[in-house]
Amino acid sequence: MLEISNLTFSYKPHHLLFSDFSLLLEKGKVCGLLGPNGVGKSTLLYLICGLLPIKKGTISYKGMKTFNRQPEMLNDMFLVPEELELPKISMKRFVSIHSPFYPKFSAEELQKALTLFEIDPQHKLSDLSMGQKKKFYISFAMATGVSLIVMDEPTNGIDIPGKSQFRQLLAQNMSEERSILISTHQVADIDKMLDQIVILSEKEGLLLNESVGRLCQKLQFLPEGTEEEAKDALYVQNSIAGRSMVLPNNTGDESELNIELLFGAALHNAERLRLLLQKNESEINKPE
Amino acid sequence: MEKHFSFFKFSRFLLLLRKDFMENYRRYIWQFLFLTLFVLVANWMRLRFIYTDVGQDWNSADFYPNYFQSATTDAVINNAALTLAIVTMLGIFDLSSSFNTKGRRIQLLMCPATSFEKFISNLTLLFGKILVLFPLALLFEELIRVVLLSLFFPAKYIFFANLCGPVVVSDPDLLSLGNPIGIAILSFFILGGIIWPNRPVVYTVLFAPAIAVVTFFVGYVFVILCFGDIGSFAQAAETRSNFFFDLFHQHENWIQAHWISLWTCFLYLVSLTNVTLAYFRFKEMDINNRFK
Repeated sequence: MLEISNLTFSYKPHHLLFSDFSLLLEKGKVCGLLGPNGVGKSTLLYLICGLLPIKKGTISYKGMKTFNRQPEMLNDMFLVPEELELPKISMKRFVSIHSPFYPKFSAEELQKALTLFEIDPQHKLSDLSMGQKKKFYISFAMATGVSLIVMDEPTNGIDIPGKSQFRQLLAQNMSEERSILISTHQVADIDKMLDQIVILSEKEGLLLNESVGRLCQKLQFLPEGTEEEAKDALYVQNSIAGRSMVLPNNTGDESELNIELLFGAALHNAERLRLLLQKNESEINKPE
Repeated sequence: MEKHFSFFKFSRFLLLLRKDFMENYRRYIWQFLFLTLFVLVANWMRLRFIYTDVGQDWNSADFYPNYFQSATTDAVINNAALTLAIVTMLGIFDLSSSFNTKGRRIQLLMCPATSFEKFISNLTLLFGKILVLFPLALLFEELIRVVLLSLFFPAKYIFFANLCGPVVVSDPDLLSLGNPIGIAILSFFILGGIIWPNRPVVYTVLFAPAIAVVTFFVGYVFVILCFGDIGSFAQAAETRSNFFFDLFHQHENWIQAHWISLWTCFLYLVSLTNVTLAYFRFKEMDINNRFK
């Protein structure tokens, strides 16, 4: 669906943000894009949407190069940016102006989403708070019926009930034909929703790109581990609640994914994590 | 995915026009009111003094055609020039207002239409505003002027000016050059508006002398390189030894007979070049404003 091949990009001539970066996003998946500040998560989303010119490599969506920004691509892709600048008109008017651009737009879906978020469509966009604007825009994105929704920090500014409503909306609107790419620091808001995790780092670019199923199969996330277990851990996080850690899964039992621990392991023990995943891959592929 | 003819689709173009109008129509009404008020105040001051000065003699047979009428006509011409200038400037600001911040650029670039459709819809709105707002504002100003002056000077005969026929330039040849000159100037502002969306008018106005200085400098260096000094260039021009000078002098009569047409062609060519450059700059636009 979305293919990034050998991407090279920089804002300044001698400071490469991405070098020979490749990534594949399949349809029907919710993909989480994680990484420290300044690593280029938002930039990658803008590149995917064709909002920045690439220096080298290709980014294609359903076979179309994204920087060409063809209408056939744009009406099948929607970006929810971190900061919204919406016109000072009513929500109804916004919908009547923008929905004709999206052939698969569903007013019913929009109504459902707005009801879920408890937003009255009669209001003017300028009267809404930042969080409410985001809720409206996410609802509109879901109603467009596009195959790819790209979201940059979607839960920033959204209140606590809004976050669980957001998860509910995501679950309701997922289909085999639709993919969602989410860049966020608020991992707790989406951790149960993800099918694929991509972690970026400043030094290595793409640090990790794995399905959640495979990560849970190959790694064990312990909310509270012993000192003995900590010796073999990829990453240990000490807190008041105890010592949580991520270990190689030698038991075969699947544990619940903890993105914070995974993120720590990827940043602090990247080589071992990669070797572990590669080793398991080679074991899987080994002929009997 | 099904492939379509993507360069221009009329239905999408209409959707873009509709989108712009419905998002901004309140702003356009305010612009219209501001414009009318501004020009009215400027001309009110001027006409009020003239009418007060005229005193009781305003209706005398020789005074009326020589002073009163010409003063009113002058004021209407000033009105027209000022209104046109303000409408054009407002249009240029509006042209770049859809992409002068990062958020707006994202909205514009992610809108499902081709760059050509977006560019043409922006230009259509600009010309539409000039063609609709300008005569409307002028009519409205004239109406208010007549009503107000009739109220303040009830004893005098206040008349509507002939808005369609004020003779701005007495020479009809020069008058015919008005359109291409206006369009050429506008095209520079369109290009400036695309390159510097944050301060289009200021930067374009500042850039024009810079271009003139650079052109003069390049010409000077070229002359020095080719002829050694300015004197030799002048001599070469005098003796007509140069191919271009020969060509010019051979066709001097024809050029003199057709200078209006030549200038018109040249100005339209300049306009076309500017608008083409503006389109390609617009097409290559990304969310980073490289020229802010």
